[in-house]
Amino acid sequence: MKFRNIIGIVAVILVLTSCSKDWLKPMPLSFFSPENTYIDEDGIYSAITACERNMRHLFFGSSDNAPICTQLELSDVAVFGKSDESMGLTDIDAYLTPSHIVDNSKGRCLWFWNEGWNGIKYANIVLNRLSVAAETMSEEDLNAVRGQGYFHRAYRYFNLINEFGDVPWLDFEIQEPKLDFYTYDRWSILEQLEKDMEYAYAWVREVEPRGRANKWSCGILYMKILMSNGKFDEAIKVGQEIIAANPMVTKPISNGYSNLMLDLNSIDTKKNLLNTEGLLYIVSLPEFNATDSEKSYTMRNGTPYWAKGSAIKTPAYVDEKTGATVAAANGTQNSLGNNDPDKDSYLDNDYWVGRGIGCCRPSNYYQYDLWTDAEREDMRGRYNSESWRKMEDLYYNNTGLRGKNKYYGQHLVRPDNMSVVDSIRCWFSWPHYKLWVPDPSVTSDRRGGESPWYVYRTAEVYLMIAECYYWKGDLANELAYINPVRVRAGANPLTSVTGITEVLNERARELYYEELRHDELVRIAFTYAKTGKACEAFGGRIYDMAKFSGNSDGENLKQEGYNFYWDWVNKVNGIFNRGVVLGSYGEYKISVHHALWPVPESAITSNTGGVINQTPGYVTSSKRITPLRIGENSPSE
Amino acid sequence: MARLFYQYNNRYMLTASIRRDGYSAFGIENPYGTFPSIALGWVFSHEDFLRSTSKWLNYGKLRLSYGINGNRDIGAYAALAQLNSGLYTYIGTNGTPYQVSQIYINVLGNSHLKWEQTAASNIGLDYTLFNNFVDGSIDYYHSVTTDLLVSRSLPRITGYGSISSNLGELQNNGFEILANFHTYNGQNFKWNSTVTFYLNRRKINHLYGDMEDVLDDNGNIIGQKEADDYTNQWFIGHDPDEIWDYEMDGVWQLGQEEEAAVFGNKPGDFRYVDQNGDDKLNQDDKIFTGYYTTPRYQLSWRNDFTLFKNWSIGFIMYAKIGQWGTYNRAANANGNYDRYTAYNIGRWTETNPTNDYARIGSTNFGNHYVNKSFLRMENFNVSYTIPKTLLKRIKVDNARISLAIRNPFVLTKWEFGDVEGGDYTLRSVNLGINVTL
Repeated sequence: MKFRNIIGIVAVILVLTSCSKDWLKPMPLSFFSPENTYIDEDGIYSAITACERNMRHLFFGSSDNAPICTQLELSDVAVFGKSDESMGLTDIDAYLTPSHIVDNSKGRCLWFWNEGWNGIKYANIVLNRLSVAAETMSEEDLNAVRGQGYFHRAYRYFNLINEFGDVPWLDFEIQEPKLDFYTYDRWSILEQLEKDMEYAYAWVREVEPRGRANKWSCGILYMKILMSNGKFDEAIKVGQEIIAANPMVTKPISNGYSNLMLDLNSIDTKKNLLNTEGLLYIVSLPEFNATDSEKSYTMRNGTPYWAKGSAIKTPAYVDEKTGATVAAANGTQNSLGNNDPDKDSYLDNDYWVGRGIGCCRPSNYYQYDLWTDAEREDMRGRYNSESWRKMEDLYYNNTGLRGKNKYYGQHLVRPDNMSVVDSIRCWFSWPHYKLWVPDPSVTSDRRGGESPWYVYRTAEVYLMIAECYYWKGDLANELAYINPVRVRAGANPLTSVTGITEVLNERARELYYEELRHDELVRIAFTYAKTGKACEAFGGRIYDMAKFSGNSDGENLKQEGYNFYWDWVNKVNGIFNRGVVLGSYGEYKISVHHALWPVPESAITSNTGGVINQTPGYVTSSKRITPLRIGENSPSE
Repeated sequence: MARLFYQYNNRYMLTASIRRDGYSAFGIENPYGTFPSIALGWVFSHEDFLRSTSKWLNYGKLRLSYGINGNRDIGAYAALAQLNSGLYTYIGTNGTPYQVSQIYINVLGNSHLKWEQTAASNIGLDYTLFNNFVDGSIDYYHSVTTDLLVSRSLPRITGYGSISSNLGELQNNGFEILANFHTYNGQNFKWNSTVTFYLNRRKINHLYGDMEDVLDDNGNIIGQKEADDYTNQWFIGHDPDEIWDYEMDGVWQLGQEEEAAVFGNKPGDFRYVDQNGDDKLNQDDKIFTGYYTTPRYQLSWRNDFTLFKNWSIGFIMYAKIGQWGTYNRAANANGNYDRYTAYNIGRWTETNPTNDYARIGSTNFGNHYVNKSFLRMENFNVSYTIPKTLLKRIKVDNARISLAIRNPFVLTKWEFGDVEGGDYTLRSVNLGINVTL
């Protein structure tokens, strides 16, 4: 057989590799890596700055319905008002569940989960890398920055345990995938936070730039943790040290503000070194808006949607000449055009109060009940026409009405047939002194520009000391520490107190849109349940940790006696559980177990190696384990 | 790289190659991968023992191949931790504002990253039959990809959402048929036709190797199994394109107010099945719906006709069958309907109790899926070559008039926008004259 053998060989001899393994090592030329960044004091502080910037997002972030608004909307002082969002925080039974917890304009509970863990990550990176930076730092500087790391980690953990209850404890830097987290007992976490903050209070410096935590910022968080742990005497001692070093502002500091409260909340005074009251600020300034801008959006979130043409109409009136009724025309307009002769005049509502969309709608408790005869002169309250605005202060300024409708240029009149939805979103009064932030970069649609904002200030410390005395049963001293805050604001001093009510009332008056109201109410609820102190606001009721979240999952219980948070919100808020319906988007309802928020379902299922407990009261098929205590080995170790 | 090719007697063929590649993105631990392959071919139609079939079997070749290929489709620095930076403002202790840098880690590094490898085997048949009436090929392949380069999701507690990682094992099986028909070849009529058919099935065999406990009804541990990735919706034993979600069940209608209220819904909202009857809609109610996001079958058909030597007509059609897509616009829940215009699509109203669309402002807890299978004629063209006898008089060498239509029609149930993506389908008609002087 002929053997045709055609061989075609195409061969390329391979380059026998004499290259070392290093030849293929990735070598980035120009970006940061942990190994070249976190090696000295500047590098470590850059991670602290990341914590601080993350904290600013709590108050200013996400434009519509910032996270701070969610704290107010799930409390006694406000409700969710953005009536064009389906599934917003109205029917909490239906719209806050493990499979539906969100971080968007309908609600920001998920923000607190996600960003809480981000902040803890940044703080743990600082604490982990100190040993490298220690080589170039003095011992005092090292301890101070360690204290800063403890502060930021404790700030997030303190919020998480008052929002989600028992959560995983993480105190090291994650450097490779970890999916075996376990739930830890919040009381054990509180014990650890107390130790960390005792250290921070001792070592963080007294004087730091505004925007950074100082000794006194650490002190007030330390106080909250001590109070959560029932150590009221220690908290009082720390509080008195803070007050001694940081007196409240009692006289105006800047020029051009009509009263002390407008002055205290102005950008000028927040920048001024004569302001001894601010203990911790987040900072954002218009002069830096090219490189680091975060606008406050306080007017957009917190003032009514007065520009909604279909809601705010002129009254119908009878035309004298013909006897016929003139059809009601649209009322206000948010931004008069640039050619409009009335722009920036007294008629221009946007110019004077900003343009709101009513996301965060104050309750009647905050608008009316808090301001009694004793608060007639209170500069924080509705009786002060410089500090507060009501709808009747605004004008009909729709250019289409000019010359055609007698209401043009007149003050607003509440429409007779205003719908429930519109009255929630478009008609309420608000603390203009707190929410007004000028924005020099825009000429219309003023939403609230850049501004420093108080995270902690001395007035809160007074009220915390007053609360400590309450827990100790010393009503005389509770009174003694509430009154300075009242007197400073122009209110009459109280002559007696009954108990927690006066503390909560005064906090609401003073700290609207500053304190994390939901978390503070939950802290107090846990303290009642832990100490068993009789709550005089509810006839001497005693609370029990075992019943805190109700009886069983999925009950949607609406009954008093389980936790103070629900009892107080249900009694005082006035809109939850009263049959108020926000259009087609749900009836305002809240149940006992909503004191705490659900752990996102995805967090539990993605954690394939360990067990994270779902918050009690929420339906779940995942199992729950007994929470670990810090120091115990987790089952995966 | 080295390659060898050997052929014997015009009938037996062998090709073999091997290569070794390195990529710096994997450079920390596993920079290199080795990729061999081998292929055999046998033209069996030339064999002596098949001489009797040569009347109808003009050409037949059997092909077998096996090879390993690498994929390195990942950023050059994906193995390194990456930091983000920005500025933050302070007010200094002297009262002057200033800015400093913030730097934070936003991507977790993975020094164990390595080459993704696919081992593929293929068996194929090339054929020509019935005196060149039809020729084509049939192929079946089976490939297993290991160490897929993916973005593995992490619990948010870590502070990270994901990490670049190599994932376990994914298998692809598929089947392709190609047939060219030289159907008729006459004086005045020629007709050629080509048909293709393609199907592919994928299955995840392994993920990350995390083992989790298997519990019986009482909560006792009875074994271990590999954990799925719920966040990315990758499940062991299933196609990654398989849709795992709530089961759609039309729309809540009037008269069902009480039932609907249990879930926080009202008549007019999309309804989903509560599989375990616990009055809550959560992960336990998600099932493998039997829908896929990618086509189950793909076909194409091309025809070219030549009539009377001067006319030619042709068209191409193709079909993709079995894919579904989300269409949540049908929930009419994007907000602000009182303030701006929106597309006029269907909606549920009390007088129009449809099951395909929800009421305006509905509460929608799940996803609404619609079948996106389609048949599309992609191209239709007609051209006429003017006979040379007519052209001679005007001294023109060649002239041809042609008409081409792209996207003449699509048959599909998908009602909104182009079924292959995009908001609209572009159909174009071109009329042309081609002249050579």
